[in-house]
Amino acid sequence: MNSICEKIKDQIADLVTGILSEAQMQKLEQHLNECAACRDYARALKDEDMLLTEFFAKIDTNITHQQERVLQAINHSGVSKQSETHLIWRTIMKSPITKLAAAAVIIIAVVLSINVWDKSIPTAYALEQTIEANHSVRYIHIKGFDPSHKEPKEYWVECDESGKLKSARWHMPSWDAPEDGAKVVVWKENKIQLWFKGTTKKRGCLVTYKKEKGADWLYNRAQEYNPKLAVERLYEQQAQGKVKIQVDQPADKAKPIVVTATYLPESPKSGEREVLFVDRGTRLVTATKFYRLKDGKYKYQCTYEYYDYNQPIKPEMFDLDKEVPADVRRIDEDQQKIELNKGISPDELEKYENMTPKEMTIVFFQACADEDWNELLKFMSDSEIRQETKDYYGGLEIISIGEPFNTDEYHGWFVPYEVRLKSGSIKKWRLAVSNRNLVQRYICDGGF
Amino acid sequence: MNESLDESVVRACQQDDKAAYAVLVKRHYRHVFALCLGVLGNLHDAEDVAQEAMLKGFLKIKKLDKTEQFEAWILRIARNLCFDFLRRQKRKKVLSAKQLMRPGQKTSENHVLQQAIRRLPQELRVPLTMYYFDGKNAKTIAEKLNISHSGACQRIRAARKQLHELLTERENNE
Repeated sequence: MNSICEKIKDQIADLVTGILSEAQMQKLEQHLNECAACRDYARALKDEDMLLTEFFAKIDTNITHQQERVLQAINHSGVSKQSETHLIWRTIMKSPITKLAAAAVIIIAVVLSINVWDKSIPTAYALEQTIEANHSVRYIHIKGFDPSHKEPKEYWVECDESGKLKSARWHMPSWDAPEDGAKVVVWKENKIQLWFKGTTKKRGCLVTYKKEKGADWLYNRAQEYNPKLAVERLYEQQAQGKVKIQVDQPADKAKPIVVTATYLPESPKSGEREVLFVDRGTRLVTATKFYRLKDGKYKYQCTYEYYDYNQPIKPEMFDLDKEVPADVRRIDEDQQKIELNKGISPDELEKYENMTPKEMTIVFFQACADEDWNELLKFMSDSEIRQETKDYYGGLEIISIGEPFNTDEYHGWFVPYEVRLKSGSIKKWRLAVSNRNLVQRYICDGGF
Repeated sequence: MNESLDESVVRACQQDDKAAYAVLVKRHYRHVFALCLGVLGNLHDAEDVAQEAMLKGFLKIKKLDKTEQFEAWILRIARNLCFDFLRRQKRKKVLSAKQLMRPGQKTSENHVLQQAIRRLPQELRVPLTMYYFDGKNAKTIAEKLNISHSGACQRIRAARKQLHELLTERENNE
């Protein structure tokens, strides 16, 4: 190999990388035909290229799993929880119960205010009729129209004889949350079922929320808007001067009574206006239009229309188990909780629940040291320990476990550790642990 | 780069849209991991730090003003975390094969290759790793590392040559 060959080496490396020009390639090929040493070098680099390609492709097979772990960690992070709660809250806030209750509040407000603003309307009659009408409602079907979309949101609500919420169903078109796609929510017997119908990128799934987490919370929220309680709140609002009500009763008796409720600056809903259309015969609300103040004018936002008052809704409407196709993935949070507590007997559970972040970390690494993978799994949200993890951490030696610390960026704790791996190298890092999970005890929050 | 694609997704994330961040994870995790692997030279450490970088990105995304520059931003976070990690580890920049090998330990082809890659200087190991792990495209590597295209090609070339020397040196010693 001469000095020319030294320069050729660069080109050989470039040839493998595929960045040589046509002319350079021809020149190189000519040299390779003449120089055995450079041919060997080129062959070696080509072989190494294959090795490198295979080596990195092997690592690449684990990337999807790693991405899932990242998403899992995000799911366990404070912000995501907030986001998840926000999703449920958003769903609820768009619920018919809220709207129905809001309508009830307004109706009553209207009826009471009639005394003040419109002496021509038989006020006592209107008040009693409307309140009574709302209390007698057991079934209602609601459609929510947004001006930018054709497909409405739809809601079905069933109350029991005492007017207590019994079951509810929401249909959310995909435009409501494109990232989720279309979804159906059913609330019945203290549990929520959420059916994500999926998108072109995401598979659909049916999520059942555990009782104490979602359903009770939702129920309490719904109760908050119970018309009976709403009357009391209305009196309060009137006394506090938070809403201005105007009633228009057209001379044409075929037209509905129009009730305009404008929220005053003292109200948290300041800047909003709701216009209700009340049926003269039944005194029930047939539609509500929502407006928001912008640039000095009330701009139209959306309309809710109310149908089928007291038309019984089929029980099947409130049962997603039968309706959702069998091949749709089902996620039961109660089951997930059991999965997370896998291998822990009821007697032992208290011990694990009482562990501090530091104690958990010690037990965690001791499990690695002892290669007790069943024990380790108790602190992982994975269904199994990967072989490469076992190879890497198995048989390690704990050098030290430091004092846990936390930062503004992460809701859990970081526990510093220093271990000597079986390979002889020392790893000094921190374990992220969190109890913000279904089982509410400290477990490893992602990678370690 | 997916700048224009990222822009709207980042905005959605800034509105606490968790599902939108999943899109960014799917789109960029590979690049982040490749960078971490290049800097740290260790699969497990790279996974830890890449995961931490993506999580940190999620928590800090509201602070990202230039929504179209998510990729450069998340790679910067990853790079800083890698250096932070290395500082904490108090390791030497390059671990020699002797340190990592235990007597009698079985040496597979992959293991030898991995050790050789680790022995490369970081400025060569990063582009080489990104090149092989991330689509074999020197131009995108140049963009991600904020260097010129020819600079990226030169580093990949130097890395290949040095890697060959390390591999043959080992063969000759055995």
